[in-house]
Amino acid sequence: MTWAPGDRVAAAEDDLTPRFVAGEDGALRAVYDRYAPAVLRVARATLGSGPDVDDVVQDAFVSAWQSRHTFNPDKGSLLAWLLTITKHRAIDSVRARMRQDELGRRAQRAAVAKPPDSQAVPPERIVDRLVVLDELADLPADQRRVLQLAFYDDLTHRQISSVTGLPLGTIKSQIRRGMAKLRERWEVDGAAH
Amino acid sequence: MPHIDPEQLTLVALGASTTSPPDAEHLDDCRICAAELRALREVSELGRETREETALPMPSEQVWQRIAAATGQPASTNVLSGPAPRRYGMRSLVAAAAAAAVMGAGGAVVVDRVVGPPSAANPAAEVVAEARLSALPTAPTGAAGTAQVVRDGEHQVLRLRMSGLPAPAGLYQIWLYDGDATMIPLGVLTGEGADVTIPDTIDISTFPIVDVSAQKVGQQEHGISVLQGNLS
Repeated sequence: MTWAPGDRVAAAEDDLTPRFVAGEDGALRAVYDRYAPAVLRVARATLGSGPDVDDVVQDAFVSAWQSRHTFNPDKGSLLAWLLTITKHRAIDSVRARMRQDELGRRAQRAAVAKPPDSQAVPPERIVDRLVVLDELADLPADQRRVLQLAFYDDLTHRQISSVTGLPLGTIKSQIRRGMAKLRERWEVDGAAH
Repeated sequence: MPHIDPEQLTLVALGASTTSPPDAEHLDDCRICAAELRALREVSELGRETREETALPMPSEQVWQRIAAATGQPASTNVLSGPAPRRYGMRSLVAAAAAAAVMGAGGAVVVDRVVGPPSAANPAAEVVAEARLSALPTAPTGAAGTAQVVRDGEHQVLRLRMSGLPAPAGLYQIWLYDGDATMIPLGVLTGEGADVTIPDTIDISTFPIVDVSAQKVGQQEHGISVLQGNLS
């Protein structure tokens, strides 16, 4: 395993997923540390705000831990699996809210929870972003850097070559290889797949 | 007619290049290249949108406490010792590092001071505090370290030793952290140890956590924590 400072150890290469599936000490906390912000994000995208958001995050991790032996790495990453569980738990929670409505407790619901903004980004899109971001974090540092410059700083390959001092051909190749990996991960792990 | 060069198609998808007339003609006729371009454009859009997701907060610590209780995990598997250690998401780290950098600009701390190999510090120097540094999940198995704060004449010196960490492609940076919002960069080390002077304005009881992060060269913000421990 190669490990370079500044790079998160690639999920595909590090042993966190097998450690989680094997139920090893500390593995749940390590997965929580890595992915709890993403789980919280998807819960909020589905539910808006409210006390049931924390419940969904809790249920998702507890459920993932208890059913970890059913995780199949051939079907997608641990992150994608966790986010699928999160969406299911969040939808259950939405249904529970609706049942409360039917029971005529609209006032109570309005007091405890704010539904997601209808203009908000759909949860499926958030999942797509999160798996692409996870893969971006796992890319070799050179590919990640050029893609961050392209995505976040809106630089062209020529501008990236100029700011990094690297040959244009190198930059074009890094962009192509990085994009191909993001695409492959999205096709395996994205919400529509 | 050959398909469009994949590098060129990727650049078009990113909006960094336009299609030449022959390529545009090919795209009209070739469903394979047109589908490739659509997929790469979607990835390019998602890539740009990931910016919105780069500073997501952690859930509150109570959420972990409840998960730990429900799964029989230790409530605190945190490497930090002491009561109710706080975890932090990337947002607080970046914000804190930015805050620390601002302090640096004001002259309170020195940022990116490269520290040489440990000097033969006065062996009689008084040890004021020490910490055992534990490996975070980001560190290779077996990584560990120790930190001691010693009084050497007028100044306090943080004496850091670590093992089990590979020679860095970038570098390691030593930080003091208040457990909340502020991290102070103390210096950079590239070997197995360093002695760094703690600025006189810094009170280690306010910044009791020693953090070692892996940094890319030139990276200003806090990188990836690999070792942490609590001074006591």
